[in-house]
Amino acid sequence: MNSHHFGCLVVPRFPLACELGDRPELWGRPVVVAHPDAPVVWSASPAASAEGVVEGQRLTEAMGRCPSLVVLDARPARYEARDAAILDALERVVPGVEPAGLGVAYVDLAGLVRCYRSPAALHAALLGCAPSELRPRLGVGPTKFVAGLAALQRGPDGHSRNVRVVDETEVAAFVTPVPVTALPVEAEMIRRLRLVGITTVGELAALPRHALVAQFGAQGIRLVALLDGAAEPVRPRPREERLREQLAFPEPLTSREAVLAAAAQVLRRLLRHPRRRGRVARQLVVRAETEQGKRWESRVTLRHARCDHDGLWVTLAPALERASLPGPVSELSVELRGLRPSRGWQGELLPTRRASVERRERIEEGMRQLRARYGRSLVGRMVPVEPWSRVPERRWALVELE
Amino acid sequence: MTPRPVNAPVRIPVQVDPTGEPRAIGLPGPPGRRRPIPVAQVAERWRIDEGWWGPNPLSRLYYRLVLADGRLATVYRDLGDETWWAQRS
Repeated sequence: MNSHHFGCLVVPRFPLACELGDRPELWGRPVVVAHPDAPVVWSASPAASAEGVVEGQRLTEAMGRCPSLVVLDARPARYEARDAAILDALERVVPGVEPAGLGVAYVDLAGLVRCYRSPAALHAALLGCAPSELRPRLGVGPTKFVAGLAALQRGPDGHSRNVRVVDETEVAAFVTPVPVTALPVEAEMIRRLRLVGITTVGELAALPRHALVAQFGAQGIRLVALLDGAAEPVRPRPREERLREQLAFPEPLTSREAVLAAAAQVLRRLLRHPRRRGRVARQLVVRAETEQGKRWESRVTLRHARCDHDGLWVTLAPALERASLPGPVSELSVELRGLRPSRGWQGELLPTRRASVERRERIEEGMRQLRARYGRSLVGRMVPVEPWSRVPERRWALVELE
Repeated sequence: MTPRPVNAPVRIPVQVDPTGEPRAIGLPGPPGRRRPIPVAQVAERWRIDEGWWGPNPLSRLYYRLVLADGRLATVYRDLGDETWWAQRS
């Protein structure tokens, strides 16, 4: 398999495949997953497509075309988690994995087949990275472009139906009848191609190259390169050391206090992790998920790489206090990113007076400018009045900072 | 400058069901965005009675609500004048 260097693992209609994996009784029925941000079809089953339902169509129109249509709510958090699990599994099989959207990943197979007893065993190992209920497909070809197209085609009889291998000698014959809708280009470009009557890659390849470049600019240059067999390398996702802890709640949390308490517990657990010792983090990511699969995420880059509890908590707590959570929280996770060895940090034994005076002077100068600009001070200081009070507005007051 | 209370309540319109429980609430915001949002679930309720011995008694029934669009809100009914207010608790 010297000429087959690239593979493309695809889970067609990924959001729908995830939903049908959880509800197998819906296989074969007209089903769509609604887009999380707009009332349009995100992913449609073949049975729905046969009734005239297409992706991007308004849900009302889709239901009008297919009265028996089953509409499922999208759960983006679940899809992202399943996609990440597939990428992690692929990285255990192949050194370089390039994610290319939900449910699509390119891999570089150079030299890898020697590690397996046959190409079929390698293909099986790659297909095994995605759960079988998602019905993944694998395309193998001399370029990423061909591998991507091959992944969308069924394999020949006698071979695994989920694997399509395109040999270097059969590339031209393979790509010629492929519809232009399968090309990895913008939808607008495909629309324009179809407007002028070009429906297959073969018809496209017959056009003069300069005409394509003149019509489509930078996209045209890339398309010409793909048609001419230019091999784009696999660009592996950046490897970054991360550490993550999470808590799932059987009874979703509705109060912010409970969410904060849970976050404090997750952070303590994270900092006790053996891999954390002697290391500092550059970024802190906190995520909350609802039962419906909606997700809220906040990512904070730390000014100084650190990993002490107090330093991280002053970053984490305000993010959660300000958060507009999408609903009762069923899962909460905290992740440290960019972990690296600590190089030691020498604090001051005694606070220097000069630093505090400088800080005070800077604040006073800022306030003086605000007063000059707006005629009054806009900076206040929170003072406790009755912090124990059961009446929320009596606990704290804002007084002008002099 | 006199001290200003932090987290002062904001008056909101509330539709109630026959039992007096909130059915839909209009959250504070720009005038164009004050459409009532249906209440999906009352997650919690608690009552505060303060100063009943003095001239300014305070009696509130707080509700922590899960709204139909998934947001959480804390509102209370002033049991003295039967008005509704939103407040972070």
